[in-house]
Amino acid sequence: MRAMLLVLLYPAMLFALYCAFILAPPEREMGEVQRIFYFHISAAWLCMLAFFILFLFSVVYLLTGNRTYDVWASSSAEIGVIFASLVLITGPLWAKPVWNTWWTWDPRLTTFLILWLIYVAYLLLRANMPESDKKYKLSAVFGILGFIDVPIVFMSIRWWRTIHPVVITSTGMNLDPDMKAAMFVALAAFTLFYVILMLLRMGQKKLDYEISLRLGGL
Amino acid sequence: MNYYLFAAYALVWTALFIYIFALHRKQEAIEKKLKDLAEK
Amino acid sequence: MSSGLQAAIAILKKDLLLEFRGKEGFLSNLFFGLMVLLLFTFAFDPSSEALRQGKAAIFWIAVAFASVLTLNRTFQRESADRAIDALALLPVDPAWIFLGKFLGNLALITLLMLLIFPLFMVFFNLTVTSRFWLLSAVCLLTALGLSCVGTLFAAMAESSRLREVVLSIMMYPITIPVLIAAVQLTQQAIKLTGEIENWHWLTLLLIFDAIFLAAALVIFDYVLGE
Repeated sequence: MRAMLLVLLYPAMLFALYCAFILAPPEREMGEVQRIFYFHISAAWLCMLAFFILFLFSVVYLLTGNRTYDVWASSSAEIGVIFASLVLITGPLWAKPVWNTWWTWDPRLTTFLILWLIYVAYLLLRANMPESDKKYKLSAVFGILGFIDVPIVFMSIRWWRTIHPVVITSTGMNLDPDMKAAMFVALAAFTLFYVILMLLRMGQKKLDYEISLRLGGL
Repeated sequence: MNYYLFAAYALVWTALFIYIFALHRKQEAIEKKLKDLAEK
Repeated sequence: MSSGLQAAIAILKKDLLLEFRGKEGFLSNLFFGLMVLLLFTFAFDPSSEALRQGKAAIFWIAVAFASVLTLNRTFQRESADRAIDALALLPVDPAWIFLGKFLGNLALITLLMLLIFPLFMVFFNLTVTSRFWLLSAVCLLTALGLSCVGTLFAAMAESSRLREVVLSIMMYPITIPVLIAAVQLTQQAIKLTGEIENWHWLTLLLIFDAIFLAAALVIFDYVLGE
């Protein structure tokens, strides 16, 4: 199944690149740089998906105590952090020519940065613990608390920023049909990418576990 | 210009894909080895 | 009196007694907090506008740094002779153990604030006004939030390597809403003139404290023990 999906992924991502660079027309005001959006938004969507799955499987792990669910949760966290970093890199690249600044303390940007910090902390907590049931339990606890914290952070940053004048307001864009198509293709390709990375990473963790069992048994 | 960009990114993606595919192959090999070992 | 409450009170008494007898731990934290306060004053020109507006932030950064050090000791005491395992064996709901530890930290962090504040007042030329009660409410609610999240995370960080670093890495991102709210409200409270606005920050503090206290009480069961 992994092989099949991989064979599907290669042309899918190429097609997404084709749609983003050639099929979609340039944006009227932002120009060519807007094309980074197709990947920026797709990566952001993947983060949300990945962190939601992390939360879900953390809860399931605490309820069942089955190690498989920890593998799901931690793999999702690792992939989520990679894509969150991509969002944080592509965002300023787009913002510099369009907003004329790399970064603003806008609620969405700031919340995203804190989200990234929380999940990096999750990975660091894991990295600093010896392999045991305790490690899985504690990371599940942190995965749940981190997820609960995100809406509170968003609320607080929004209030914090309203004290100062809001420099940039986001306005809804009227998307050209080709742009919409490119967006959907990119979203689909990235979701497929996530599924494959999850399968690979979970497979690796399973192998790691089996090998350590075997070595322990010798 | 966009064609060049497309080509450049397609190249980057191809390289990344080859890396991921190699990981997949390696993993399959290890999975098979472990299975053989378990049967013994 | 239920045995759970008894256990919580016993833990609280024991922790406070230990802190009181071995003052060096708490005093070092207090000094660290004062040091941070001083270093920040040197970062700004004393008469500058930036310093006038950033007063509240400096106080809270000093408190946040000093309290993480205090929180670090919560479970270090217990891990010395593996007393933590004995605690986990107590025949009461683990939520009570959390409560005892949490109240101890709440007392210590509140005390830290009380001791850092006079110096803050002197260095930054504050006047005690009728808004003192607002300030007290903010300090108490913030101490509640910090010690609640902190106690839970200290228990978690205890079984990791590099526990001091791990605790701060986990705690600061999660408690950012509390710190923002505290700074905003403190700025209001130390002003001499003008209306007090932004009451919603108090609501935010209350919501944060309620959510995390409830979550910690439920979840502590998983944190303690193997």
